[in-house]
Amino acid sequence: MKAEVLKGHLDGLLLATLEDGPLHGYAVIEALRAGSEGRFDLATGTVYPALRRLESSGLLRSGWSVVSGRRRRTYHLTDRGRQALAGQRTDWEEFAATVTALLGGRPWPVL
Amino acid sequence: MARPVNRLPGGAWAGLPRPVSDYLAEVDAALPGPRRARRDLMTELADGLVDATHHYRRQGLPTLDAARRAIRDSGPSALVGAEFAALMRRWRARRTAQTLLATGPPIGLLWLVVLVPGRGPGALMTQLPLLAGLLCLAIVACAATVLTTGPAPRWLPPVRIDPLHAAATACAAATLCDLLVLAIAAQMVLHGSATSSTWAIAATASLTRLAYAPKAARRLRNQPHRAGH
Repeated sequence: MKAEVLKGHLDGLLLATLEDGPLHGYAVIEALRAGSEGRFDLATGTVYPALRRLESSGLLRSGWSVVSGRRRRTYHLTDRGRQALAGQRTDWEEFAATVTALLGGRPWPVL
Repeated sequence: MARPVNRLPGGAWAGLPRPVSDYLAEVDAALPGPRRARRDLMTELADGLVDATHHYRRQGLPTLDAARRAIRDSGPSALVGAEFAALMRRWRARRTAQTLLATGPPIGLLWLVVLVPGRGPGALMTQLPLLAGLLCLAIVACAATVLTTGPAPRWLPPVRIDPLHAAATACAAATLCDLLVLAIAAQMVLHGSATSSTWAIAATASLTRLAYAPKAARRLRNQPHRAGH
């Protein structure tokens, strides 16, 4: 799946990977890779600035810890982040249902 | 065991395969902003590259090949650098707007005392509608910058404004405000009506902000010009 397609959904995907608990940046990347079974063609280096942007928006919090002698930044969802994730899920379900109906050649809904 | 990732004065990264340290140096060269903020971001990127290199080594690749695969996954240094740079410019825009919001009221109060002693802000605004307009513009632009670069209140609908442009607009408006009041103050001096020490304090405060705001606006636009490492 091309990076351009992913771009509009990256924030939601990052929030979703952190739903079950805190992760550091590379673990987020691993979770994306595992969850997509390697289908996402994503420049993983762009995940770090995206995580920081979400943190600036108050959707994530983060902190440094030292693991095996390396400083490592770990992220977790805030309450606001959980709400944003729920909103993105709803939006995605509506969007996906509409596109599926259209691409599947089903009749246009009568209003 | 992973070795500590430390930046050396010469620009190399200790404990990392050469392709990774070169890649980090390329990304770092694209970043604007203070060294401390850059180091913070680069440490995180380096940490991820170390993990990715280990991942590929566990799959049987030699270290250099593993490092090259990790870099390929990370993406072109120009792309990653641009994403980090955009983030840092947003931070800078926010800091600039916060600085202007923090300095605005005390400087405004000083000029109130100088220009319309014993009267409220309304008197000054009525006398100088241009100043009132510029002040409103600066405040709105600062507020828009802060709202678009940080957690926005839940009740507020999403604001679709480029924070860099908003912050630059705020800088321009603040600069014009300072120039305007300084011009009025200079006239007062010429007419011998500026006698209080508050005048000197207000002028110094405005001159200080005049030194800051245009420079801050330029920094919001400029690309870094550091040489690659």
